[in-house]
Amino acid sequence: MNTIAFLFLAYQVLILFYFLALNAGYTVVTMLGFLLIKRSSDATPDLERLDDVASLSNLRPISVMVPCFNEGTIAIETVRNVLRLNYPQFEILVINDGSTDNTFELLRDTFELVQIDRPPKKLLETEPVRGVWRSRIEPNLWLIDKDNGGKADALNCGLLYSSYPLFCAVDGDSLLEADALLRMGHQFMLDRDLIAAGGAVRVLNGCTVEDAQIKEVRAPSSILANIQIAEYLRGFMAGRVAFDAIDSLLIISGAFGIFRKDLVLAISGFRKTVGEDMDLVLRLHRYCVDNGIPYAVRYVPEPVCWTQVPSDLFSLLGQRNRWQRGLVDCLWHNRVMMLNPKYGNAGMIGMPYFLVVELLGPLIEFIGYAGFIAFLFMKRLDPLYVQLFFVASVGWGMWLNAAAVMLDNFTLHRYARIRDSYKIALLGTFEYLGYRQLLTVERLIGTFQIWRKNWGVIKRESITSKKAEPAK
Amino acid sequence: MDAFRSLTFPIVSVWLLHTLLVFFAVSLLVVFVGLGVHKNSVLRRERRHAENRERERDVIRAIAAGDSRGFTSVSDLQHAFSLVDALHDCNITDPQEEKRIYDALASTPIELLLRDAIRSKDWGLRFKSMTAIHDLAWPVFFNELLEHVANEDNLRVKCSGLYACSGVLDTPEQFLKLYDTTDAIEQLTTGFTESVFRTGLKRLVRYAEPDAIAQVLDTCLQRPLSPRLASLILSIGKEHLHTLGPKIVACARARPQRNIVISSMRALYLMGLSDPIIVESLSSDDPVTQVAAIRCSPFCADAPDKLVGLMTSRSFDVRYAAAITLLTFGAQGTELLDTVRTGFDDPYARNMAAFALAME
Repeated sequence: MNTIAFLFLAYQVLILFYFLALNAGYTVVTMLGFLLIKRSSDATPDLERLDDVASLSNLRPISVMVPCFNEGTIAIETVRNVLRLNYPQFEILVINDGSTDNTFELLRDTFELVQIDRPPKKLLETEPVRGVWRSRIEPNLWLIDKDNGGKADALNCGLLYSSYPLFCAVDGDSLLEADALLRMGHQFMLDRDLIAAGGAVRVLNGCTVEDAQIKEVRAPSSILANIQIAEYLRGFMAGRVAFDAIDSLLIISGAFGIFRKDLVLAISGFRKTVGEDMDLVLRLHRYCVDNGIPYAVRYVPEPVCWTQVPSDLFSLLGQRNRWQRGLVDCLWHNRVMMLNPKYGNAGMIGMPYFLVVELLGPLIEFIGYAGFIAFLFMKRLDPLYVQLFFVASVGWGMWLNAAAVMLDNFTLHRYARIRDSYKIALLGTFEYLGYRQLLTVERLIGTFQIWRKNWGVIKRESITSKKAEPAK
Repeated sequence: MDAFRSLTFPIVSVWLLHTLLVFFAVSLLVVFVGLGVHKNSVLRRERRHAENRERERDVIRAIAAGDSRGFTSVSDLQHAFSLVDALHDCNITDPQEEKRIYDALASTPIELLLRDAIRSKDWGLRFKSMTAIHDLAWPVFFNELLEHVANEDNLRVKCSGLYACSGVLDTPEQFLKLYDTTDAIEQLTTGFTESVFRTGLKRLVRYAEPDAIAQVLDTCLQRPLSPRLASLILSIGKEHLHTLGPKIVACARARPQRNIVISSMRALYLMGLSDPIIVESLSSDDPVTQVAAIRCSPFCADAPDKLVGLMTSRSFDVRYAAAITLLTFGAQGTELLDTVRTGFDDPYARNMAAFALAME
């Protein structure tokens, strides 16, 4: 009996310590991240000066690749958005990945595409290409129409047709800020060793879109979208800046990243996995270390890509399930890096972090929540433990989200109206009141579904209208 | 068991609980209130900067016009930055007016403030002050800046310093020093060095004699082969220093490396010049050189016929560049493309010609 009581207590202490350690870690990363963002934005030339530099220097040309699968009119808006980017020399390669809707016809008619007999460079294997088209009205716009093979296959196909030394992968449902490419190109101009850089990904829902450009940044009305904004700010912005600072950035979002093409071709392009973005960065780390190539992988918080987040719970769960499956696959495929000092901080800090916090985290959290409920019914919970558990897991998490939103406003000032920041900060705290627990379960399910390779369907709203906020 | 329990509950736990609760409540309050205060202070600072900038613009215009009152209000670095922005806005180009401005600046603490700032331990401030020095374009900073660049550890600040040097130089000797310093820093990209060289060349064109410029650039072109040389050649082309055309060709002939030849052809093209080296490169074995030559060939008299021949190339890039360039020759190019489309046996050439004609 005494042993059982001891085990109950030990369990409670362990779970409590996990949450305390997790949230303490998140807190340090968030604070450090925003401190670094502030420092970096202080030392970033303003747009006027960036334009001066761009007009004088030879910025490396970029191939912007937009893979599309059944995007419909959203693809048109994305292409229009990319066409308006402020960058001296770039080409756009839209890869129609065997869409079964009218995406191809819409693109062909809107941009007056003319077919050209263009052979691919035979460097990678991809699904067969049906035809290559170039626009009459936009000389730098190409369309590659191919059989369906998934996002990684579409990007590999784009690589075979791209002409420039850098390529940028943009999701078909995202909008880039007009100066996003310029800011990224500037980084590649300053740092010769830079092989990959990711920009900030922010939530499009709620913003006003006019003529394929973000006109006004606003908080959305749906709680789900607001929670995701807080989540993006904490995890994808502050977190990535902190990992960048210690040279252990292992992921560049598939929505917006720029890579050196020669190195990506050297590692046989994108691997067919649902986590192709993280996998690419991990394999680039490995390739450069194994071959003694000096390199840097950076996160740049200023150039922004605005992306639609799922506006319904079903799509959100599907997305997180896929992310988790991708994570498991990437970590397994690149397991040689785990705790391997040869790979520096990427192997010694980045990989263990992803294993313990991102991969095993849902399992530990699930055990914590499930055990909490079970013990509650068994009346084996110490009341003090209950209070501490709530403060350490829920209270601290809510605090973190609110702090991240506020710090974002302190440093980058994207939300012009202060009430938008307050709204996101307040609604973001709801993450820990059901949302996170639900995602924990879905991620746990995803962990055990690694055989599934499908992307699932995410319901998207059109961004052609003036306002991009999805229907509630 | 009891010992374990007494260790964890309740003293440590209660302390932890209370500490966390107080911390959350206080910090959230601080952050929420702080955001409002911070927003206000940012707005105030921006407003003050805008006001100072506008006021200094008036003063600058007055001084440029001959007013002898001078700058009286520069007391801190923030105000110095406002003054620099105002100077940038006014875009003073007349040498006499510029001299009056610099004379007036000499009686302010701005030089000392910026010198202190570039020695700061805060790299963000060093970066910002070097950007300001670039905008100020005051030659007094050149030597000290160049020294800082050589000793700077932070690559971003180093680049900013080099760029600032290029924006303040005013003699050919300084340009030569800048070239050698840039050449010695291996980490720099060719794209960035081009912005440094072009800014420096713009300054030289304004302040130095053409013969002295030609002489110093000729000296640079004789320097050992390095990626900087290609950047310099391209910069000369982009700045339209036509008199250096023959020297660029001589450099490319003496060092027929791919990047030097391509940069030379592009420089010639940008200056609207033609040279046999372009037509010769159309027959190169290297498709990259061929494509570059095709794009630089519009000023070459015998280019159209050569381009028609290239329509049968095995390389798609060469065929494509040839077809698109032929389109730039107007009716003559269209006619030649039509000839290829209807009269050539090579199906690739015919397809490319048909595509180019559809693009017209």
